[in-house]
Amino acid sequence: MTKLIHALAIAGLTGTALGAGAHTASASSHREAPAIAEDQYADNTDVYAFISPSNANNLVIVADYVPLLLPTSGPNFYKFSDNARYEVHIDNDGDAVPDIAYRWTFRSQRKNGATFLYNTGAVDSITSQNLNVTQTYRLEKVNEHTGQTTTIMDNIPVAPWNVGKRSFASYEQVALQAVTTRNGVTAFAGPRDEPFFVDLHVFDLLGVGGAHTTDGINVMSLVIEVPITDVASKGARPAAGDTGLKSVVGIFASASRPRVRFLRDERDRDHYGSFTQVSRLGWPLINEVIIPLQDKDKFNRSQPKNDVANFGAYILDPEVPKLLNLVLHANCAPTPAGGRTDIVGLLSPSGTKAADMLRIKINQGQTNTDSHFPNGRALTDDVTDTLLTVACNNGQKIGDGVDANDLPFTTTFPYLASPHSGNP
Amino acid sequence: MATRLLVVLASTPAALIGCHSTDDGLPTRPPTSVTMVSSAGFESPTDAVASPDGRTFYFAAWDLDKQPTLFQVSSDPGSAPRALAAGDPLEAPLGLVLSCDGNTLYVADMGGDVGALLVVPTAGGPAAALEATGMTRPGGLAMGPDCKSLFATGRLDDGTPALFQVPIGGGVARVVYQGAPLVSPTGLHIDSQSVAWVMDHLAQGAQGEGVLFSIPSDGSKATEVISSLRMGTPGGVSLTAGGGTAVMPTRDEDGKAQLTSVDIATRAVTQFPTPDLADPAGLRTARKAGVFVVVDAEAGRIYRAE
Repeated sequence: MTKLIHALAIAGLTGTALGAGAHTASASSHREAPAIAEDQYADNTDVYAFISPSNANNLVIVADYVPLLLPTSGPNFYKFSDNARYEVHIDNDGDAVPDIAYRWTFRSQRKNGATFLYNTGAVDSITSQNLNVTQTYRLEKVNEHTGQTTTIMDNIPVAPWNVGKRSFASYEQVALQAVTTRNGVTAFAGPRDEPFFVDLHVFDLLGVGGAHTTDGINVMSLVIEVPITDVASKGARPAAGDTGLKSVVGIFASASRPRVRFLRDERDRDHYGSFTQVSRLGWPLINEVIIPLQDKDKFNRSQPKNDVANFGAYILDPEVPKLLNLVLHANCAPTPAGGRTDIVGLLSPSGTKAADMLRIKINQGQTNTDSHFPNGRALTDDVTDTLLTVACNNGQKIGDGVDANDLPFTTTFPYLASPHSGNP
Repeated sequence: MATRLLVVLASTPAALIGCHSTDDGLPTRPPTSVTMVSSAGFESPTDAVASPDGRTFYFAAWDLDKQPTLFQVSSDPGSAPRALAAGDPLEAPLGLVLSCDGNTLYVADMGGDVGALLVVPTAGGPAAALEATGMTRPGGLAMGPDCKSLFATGRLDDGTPALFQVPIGGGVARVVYQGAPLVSPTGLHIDSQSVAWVMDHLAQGAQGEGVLFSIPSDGSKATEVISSLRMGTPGGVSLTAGGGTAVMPTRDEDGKAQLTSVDIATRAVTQFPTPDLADPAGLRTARKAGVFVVVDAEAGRIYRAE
């Protein structure tokens, strides 16, 4: 409730009575656009950003990819793509143009190609010889203006899939060996419990009613914890109370693919050309339910700085409240003359340029308790309820009836819950 | 033409004069205008070349039935293209170059299992394979100054990126250069001294990803000329007459198309914005006319630049 009031206050809706209302919902960004639905490994599902609960001088960013993963997904368990670039972009001066990126690139290894097994025996360590299929990554920091890259860490192991109890007597003990700190940056890459909670029955003509449809599902997570001075403009953290353009950073995640892919008859596929963005996400739900089918792929290819020009009409006059009225008689407010400038306001805090970026205050004095959507996004934030209530705009709190994740989050890095086991 | 050439030479540092013989007929300066020539009947063009007199362009694209196709089109604005060859054995034509007499079109095709070099008469006729033993996955093509050998970017059988030289009649591909710093070599230009100017999509240079390298004919080294080039696919590069300036289609950091020119001697960079283009790629010059041809891979258009 507190979070919702915070959101509404920013939207200029303080004083609104919040009561129980119709249950309705949607999903975040899982399989949200036609083209990316055909490219699961590059599908960016959610982004979270919050001040570290253990060190208020650090910012934590979580970027999730590869949606809706069944734990029993062998024999080729999920991983990251070796032929994609996974990136978290950061705008630190409010112009909706990213200044810094963190880039992950992956490489798979196989110890024994003569077996179908992911692991050839019990695994008690991330370096276990029984772990047949492995993946490592390089994490780089990119100057987005010049393209210059600096390697933060390289050849870092990805946490393995939680195959089952016969393979892992203590899965999480092994997985956490993938947590690595180099050059002041702590990183984790690997499967985690899907932290987004929602009733996906929304896509059955808004037929929601509190079904925990993402319970028991996993996702592939990239998590970094970085000093705030690493991402602040000119490396200077703004003073407490500063409300200028540089007092917030805007964050979005993306995946890019080489432009050309060749499928061979006798050889492995290969790729050619420059990388081009195929998926992106800042706020939850924007491309899912604000952008219509005709422009969803375009949204994934485009840059946030052009969001107002490209998609502003959809934000000013969103479809969601009309559907809520039509199907659920939710009595949402009609779109006012001039459109939903309140939502645009949410997308442009502190005078920043409106764009689909997850913006978070980085002033001195900001702490983890301040980091709740839309000021960043905590793992526990019920963004579905928040955004539906904002979209409906009738003073009533509405939601999907799913208010929390199936597993508790942790207070230590990487903060996400351990992935569900394929054979618990 | 002669006047402009003299101007360029007069402004070229003395140290450079004599390093390259003048390439008579090539454009003497980077382009300052672009004009759309053709935009219908094809999609996703990859590369284009100009006839020696600059009056005809040849380009690779997909026709409206999704067949890989080689097209011929007048370089006059509003021209309709004509298909020279379509379908098998073409699969993924990514690089083109013309013979010096303009009668034969050579094609680097990255399709199939290992890719192929193909030959097509510009007068019309089926595409035929050109043997290039030892080279796989050719992507960029250029003609040697003696008009007797092709240069191609591609890969060794083990996947190592490389620059090759192949007789125009086919045969064993000589490895001119292989391995790092090349990562994903693409379009190239061969100057009058047989120096290769090679674009690489993914190589990391001093200023960032996307590098133009120069590689001497003995393959002794690959020298970074400029980096942080946001190039199209395939990357294209041509040098003006005398080899003084390299011209490349790129995008700026906002994604806007431009033609980037680099003074080879001073490394000074100038940009010519081309806002009508979405994703400029594969840029080539005519051999005997001050004309460049540029493809817009995303918008599906062919442009004349001069």
